[in-house]
Amino acid sequence: MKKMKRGLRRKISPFGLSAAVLAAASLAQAAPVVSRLTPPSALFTFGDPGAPYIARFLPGQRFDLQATIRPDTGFTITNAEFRVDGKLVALPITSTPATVAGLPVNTGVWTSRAFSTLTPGVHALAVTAYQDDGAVVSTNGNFEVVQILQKGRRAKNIIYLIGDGMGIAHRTAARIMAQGAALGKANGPLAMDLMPQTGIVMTHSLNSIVTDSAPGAHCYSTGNKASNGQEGVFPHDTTVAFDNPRIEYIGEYLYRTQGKTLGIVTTADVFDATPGAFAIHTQDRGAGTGICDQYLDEAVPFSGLRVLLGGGRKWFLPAVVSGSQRAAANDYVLPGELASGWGVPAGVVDTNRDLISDFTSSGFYYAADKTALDATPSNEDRLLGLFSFSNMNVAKDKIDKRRHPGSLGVVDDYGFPNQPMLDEMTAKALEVLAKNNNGFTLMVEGASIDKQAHNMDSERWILDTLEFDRAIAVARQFAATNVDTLIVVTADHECAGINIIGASMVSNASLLTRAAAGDGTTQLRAGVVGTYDAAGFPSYQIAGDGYPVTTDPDRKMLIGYAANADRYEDWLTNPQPLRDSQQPFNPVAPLNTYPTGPLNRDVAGNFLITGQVSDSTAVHTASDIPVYADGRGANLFRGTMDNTEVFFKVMQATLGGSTGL
Amino acid sequence: MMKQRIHFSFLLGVLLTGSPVVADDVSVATGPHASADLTRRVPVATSRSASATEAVSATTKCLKPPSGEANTNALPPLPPGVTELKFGEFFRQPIGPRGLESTEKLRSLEGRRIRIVGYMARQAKPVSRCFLLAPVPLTLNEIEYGYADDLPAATLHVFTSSEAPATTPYTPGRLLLTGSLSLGNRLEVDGRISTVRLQLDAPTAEQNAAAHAAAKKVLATDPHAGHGH
Repeated sequence: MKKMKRGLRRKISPFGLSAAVLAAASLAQAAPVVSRLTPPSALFTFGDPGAPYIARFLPGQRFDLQATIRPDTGFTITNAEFRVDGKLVALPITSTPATVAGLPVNTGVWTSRAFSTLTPGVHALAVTAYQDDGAVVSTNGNFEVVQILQKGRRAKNIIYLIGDGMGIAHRTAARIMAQGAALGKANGPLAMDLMPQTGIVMTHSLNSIVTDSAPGAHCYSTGNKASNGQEGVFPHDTTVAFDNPRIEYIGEYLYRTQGKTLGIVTTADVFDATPGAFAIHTQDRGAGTGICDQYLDEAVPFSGLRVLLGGGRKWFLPAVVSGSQRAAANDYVLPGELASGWGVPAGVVDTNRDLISDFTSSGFYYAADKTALDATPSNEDRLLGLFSFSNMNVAKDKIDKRRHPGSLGVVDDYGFPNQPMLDEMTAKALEVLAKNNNGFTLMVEGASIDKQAHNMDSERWILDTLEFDRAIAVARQFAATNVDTLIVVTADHECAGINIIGASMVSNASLLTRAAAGDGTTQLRAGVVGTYDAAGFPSYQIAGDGYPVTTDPDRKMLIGYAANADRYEDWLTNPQPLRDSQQPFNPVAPLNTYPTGPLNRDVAGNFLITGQVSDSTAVHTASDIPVYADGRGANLFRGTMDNTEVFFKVMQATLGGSTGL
Repeated sequence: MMKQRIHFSFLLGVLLTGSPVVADDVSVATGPHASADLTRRVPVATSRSASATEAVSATTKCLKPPSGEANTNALPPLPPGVTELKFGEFFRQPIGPRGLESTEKLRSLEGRRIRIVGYMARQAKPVSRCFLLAPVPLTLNEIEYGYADDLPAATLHVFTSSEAPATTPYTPGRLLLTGSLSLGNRLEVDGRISTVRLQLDAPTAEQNAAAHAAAKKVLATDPHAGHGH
């Protein structure tokens, strides 16, 4: 009902407050116009003063105030003031020209940095702008400061495990493969099945029902919504990637107030959206050079970043080194007012920076492969691991190499035959972070659950879900002996509209024959796709390493995609992943023999499944996702919640505690 | 349009090499190496043959149909004093603890004459007497994305002779280039740092004159010619 009410108000808004309405107004304005007020609020956009409040913060959590103000033609805005609850904000206010397309050239963006208030409750935010002819405009918004209740033992350590793109069916598929089911019951649980608390999370971003991974993780690290592609910031009206209004991150807040350190572990390139959304403030999730520089320049000194593990070495090499992707166009320099407002370095464009050496000079131990990771000296309290140039290889391809160390495999084609598994990275991260007596926040991402779901490569995302589940098991082992640890397992969104549609009704030998026959649906759908009773209980044999002996047993599990692009399907495990354009050797042999897309593999069977989306791969969906919690404060994670609420539950557990486990 | 493309391929070839442009199968891995790859993965991935076709189709947009015609892409005999170089031979595998390291073969060819097959990158901001040759066709939009692109690590900065026209028109399709190789990091006028460079052979006076005349004629009738579509 609330949404309908807001929609109605937007259409008939009598206030002249809506940005959309104002943008469409004629040039002959009688007064200056505020077209954006940050933090975002339904009060500003729709004239709706009620809940739910769009922007919410912790007591003392810092964030920027910003307004986009357009003077009348031929006039100038001479000053602007922010007021919170009627009281003038005493912070410096600066302006810069708005540069996004569609705004008049004299539009300015007015900002006060690093505001905070300790007082819980809903606060009125107002901006007043003064034009040089004496005209004045004042506009209202609001935000909420959440009350932290002191009610029990507090969590010392927080472990977020984010299965990127992991919806409910990813988990079910992983369980069926790893544990099997018989006579109607699962033969055993996944590690995540053992988490005692479960809730449901709604995942919309600030500008869409369907989020991407940047806002999808930013909500867990800031308690706020972001627009797609953006992390650690609210949207604004300049085109500069790193000058947006910021929101203080969980890592920054807890390091500043409690001395808790931060760890980031991912199987993706470390510049990717989910890891970036725990430490980097930018409206451009693709700005790799600046993002990776900020890990060292800001996250190490101001978030207590002590562990950074993943791929992405190409951003850490001087531009003169072959394979480097450092570039001036995606480096960062902060405006002076931002740097001084937040007390952070402004940065420089330095494409020839040797970021690995700068990390090691700052006391980090550097591991380039699993062997070096395993050899991390026990006294190290700072750890950097960059195990590939871009995204790491997926679990299936890493495991294949471990099972056949003498043979060349996919990981050899990528140039990195000795990459660690996510659970191994998690264990090492916990070992290093546990040295801080004040506790820590660790974010562990199973990144390629999403990337392989996009590619509709069923076996690869299932095995990455299993790899992720093994990292959960490692975290739970840690929590068993470190009882003041809170573990939150969730996703950022669902990817690909995945579900388990049944099982093959034929043997693998038959499937191989059918996949080569070229007869499409008559060979690969009819007589193969078993639904309901015909699906039975697919069975996979699990090897000592925890992964299936083969992902192509007789009568294997079959997966469907509801958010799919066109693809050929033959149900068999793909010997090669799809190409990853971010890899340095992508265009040369042997990687240039890998299929480029879901229409370039499995073609021999001629079973074309047309998709609803015109993209080349499957897409994220707006489906709710599960959240699981264990450890100190886990009992807070019940019911259905907005994704930003997960952050406030984590912080309630950390700052105020909770009763029971 | 097709006629125009062919015309430009010819034009570029004449301009740049002084020898005919020959479309080579740049995807060298569709040969024995790729087959070996598929074979070696059989134990884990089950045996299937579809990927050989997929692999070819994935890299054959500009190629003739691959079935049984791989040999039609054979290069002409190697001229004396020229070494064949492939993009896959630029850097050592596996990758070490830091950046990419050049192969012994690449290092041994410094200052030597080589020939190589690749694709001219289509650039939004072309620069005078320099273009990029990549192992795959690609478009670089420096205006919108700056230099934040997925330019392959193995990419050649190609320099044309001072006798050639200043602007080299974009030419789709495979190109076979011959010239002198130079190595080492250098900041180029395009703002990128080059690591491997090719100085093309000069055109003959006759070719040069013909090329100039052809370029003038085409540019006069179609100002967008040569910039792709």
